[in-house]
Amino acid sequence: MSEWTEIVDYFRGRSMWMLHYCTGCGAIELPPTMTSRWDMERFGITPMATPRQADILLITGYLAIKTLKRVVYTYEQMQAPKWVLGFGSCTINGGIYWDSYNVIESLDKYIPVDIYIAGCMPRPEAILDAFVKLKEMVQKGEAKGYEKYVKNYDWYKANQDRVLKRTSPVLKEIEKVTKIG
Amino acid sequence: MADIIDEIKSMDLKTSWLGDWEFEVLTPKDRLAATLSYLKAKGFKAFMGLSCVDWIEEGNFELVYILQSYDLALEAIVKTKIPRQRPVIESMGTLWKLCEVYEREMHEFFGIEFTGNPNLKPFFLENWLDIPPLRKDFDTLAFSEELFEFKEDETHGIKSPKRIE
Amino acid sequence: MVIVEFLIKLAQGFGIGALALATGLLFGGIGRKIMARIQRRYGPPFTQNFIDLFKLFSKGSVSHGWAFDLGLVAGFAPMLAAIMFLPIGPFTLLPSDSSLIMIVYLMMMAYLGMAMGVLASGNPNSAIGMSRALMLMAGYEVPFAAVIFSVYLFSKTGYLTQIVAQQSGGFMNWNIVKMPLGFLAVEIALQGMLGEKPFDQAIAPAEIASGPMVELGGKYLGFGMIQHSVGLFLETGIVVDLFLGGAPNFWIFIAKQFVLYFVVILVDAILPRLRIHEATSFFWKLPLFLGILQAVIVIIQGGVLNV
Repeated sequence: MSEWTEIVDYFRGRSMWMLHYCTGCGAIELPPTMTSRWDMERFGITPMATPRQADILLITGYLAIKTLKRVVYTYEQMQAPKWVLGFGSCTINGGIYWDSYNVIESLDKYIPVDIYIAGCMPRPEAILDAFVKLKEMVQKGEAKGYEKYVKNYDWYKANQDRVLKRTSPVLKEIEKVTKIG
Repeated sequence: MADIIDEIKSMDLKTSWLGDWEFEVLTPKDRLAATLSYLKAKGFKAFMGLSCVDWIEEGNFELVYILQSYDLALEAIVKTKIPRQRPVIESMGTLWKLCEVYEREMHEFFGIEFTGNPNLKPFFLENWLDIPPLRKDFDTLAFSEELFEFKEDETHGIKSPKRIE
Repeated sequence: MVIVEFLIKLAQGFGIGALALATGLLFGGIGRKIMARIQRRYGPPFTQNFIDLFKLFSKGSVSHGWAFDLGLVAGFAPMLAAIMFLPIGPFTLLPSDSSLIMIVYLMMMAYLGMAMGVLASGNPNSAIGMSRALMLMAGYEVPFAAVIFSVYLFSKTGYLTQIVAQQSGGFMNWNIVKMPLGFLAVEIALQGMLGEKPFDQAIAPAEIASGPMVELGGKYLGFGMIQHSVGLFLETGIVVDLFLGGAPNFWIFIAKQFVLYFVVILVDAILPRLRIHEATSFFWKLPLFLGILQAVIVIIQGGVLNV
């Protein structure tokens, strides 16, 4: 049976379809990766229009709270097997928006991330390197973020609800919290 | 072009040139509507934007209206100060309809009340329960640490599983 | 005896279906490579469409009810059925029924079946995409019908096997030499039938989130891909049989099909997408004019030469 899984994983790695969803400013590096100079299609990766057809979700940059809700909807509409690539330093630790009131800091707590790409923003060579690494992980059977999500769903959902479904102010005793005077 | 400055000075308002093609006009709060409609009649028909500055030491919000005139090729910046404790001012939506959208943003981020604006619902922030975030007494770093930062494995009372696999 | 013959025919039918699918996928892969080279990049390997199909059938899929499932199967089954009647090289599975009208009817049934399935998903993007696809069909079927009409008048028969037989005996006997305007009209209609630019309004990835395919995922998208590949084989095969004289063996048949597909890809790589009403009205102007002109010429020739 494992030989069949190996064969299936081999084919899955050579034909991964990416959702063409530009969530943040890192998406500006996607058109050069797709077009003639750093051709992405030779690895079998093409952009697809809807989450039902796609395998890879690229979170390209910062995620505001408003966008996080829609990204979670999108991630849950995709079908297994699916992989998430965190793109840029904003998904790793908040990037240059680390102290902002509207931008989340660590993407891995809300949806499971398979590979992070460092950079602000990463160049097309770095993106292609990440795709090749993801292909190797898939063909070895190591990229199982979607199974992590299903098994630990309560934890992920609790984290999402803490941000998206607040019922009380975050900063308590606001009259005493002042920065000046 | 200098005559526009002289005309405004004759109306007993403080005004000065900021550069070659823009000037500012400082008006008290009760004369704001009159000043804006005077400038609109003079040719400053294009409404470019509305912004706000929080002077926390003085205890004022300063509203900044930016207008442009295509015929005269000039930009007019009209500023007015309102008290910070209960910021209320009338809406300029009767002069320019676009102003109502900017006033909605000012209400959401500074808490300024615009009387006569039919729609002051929030549209940038979802489910916001704290004080308006662009005020200077809102500590954004403390907010970010409280809501988004995860300390070790115990995340704000949400026990993480032993291993995420 | 009858059972054995029936089983042999069944096996041959499966074989032809698999052959058509494999050829369609291979043409698709070669087409992607050619498009990539035109755009000065490397492009995927030739077998990329096979890998894509395998991957699609290994993914999970979400269904929207029984009408959705049934519609998708009804999308590609008539295409496979139409191939049974098509003369492929020297071999026709069911020669006594290979009427041209039957094949065109089956192609249209495929579209309507897919429309039923796709509209059952309830997504407005799929409704828009399907209405565009049917409107485009109202565009390209009209010059196609005019050309079929002139071929019927010329050959005095409606059976594809006999039309192919009449064109045997050298290059000068092919219908492309005797009815060049009709060939031009059908070549333009072929661009619409295959859904390649400038006539890919039905798919339109950036406008309506790929139209009918918006809710298809996994195995359903695999069915859609099968429909597209088999349709490619079928439609180019019809044009080869009508105008390029069939073929004495299977490899020359595929080569002729590939020449037609090559021209389609070249036009696809250069032109942008028309708007839907412009596309439909274009089909009713130049190609229809060529088709009707061809029919008039055939009538005059037939009337003068055969008293």
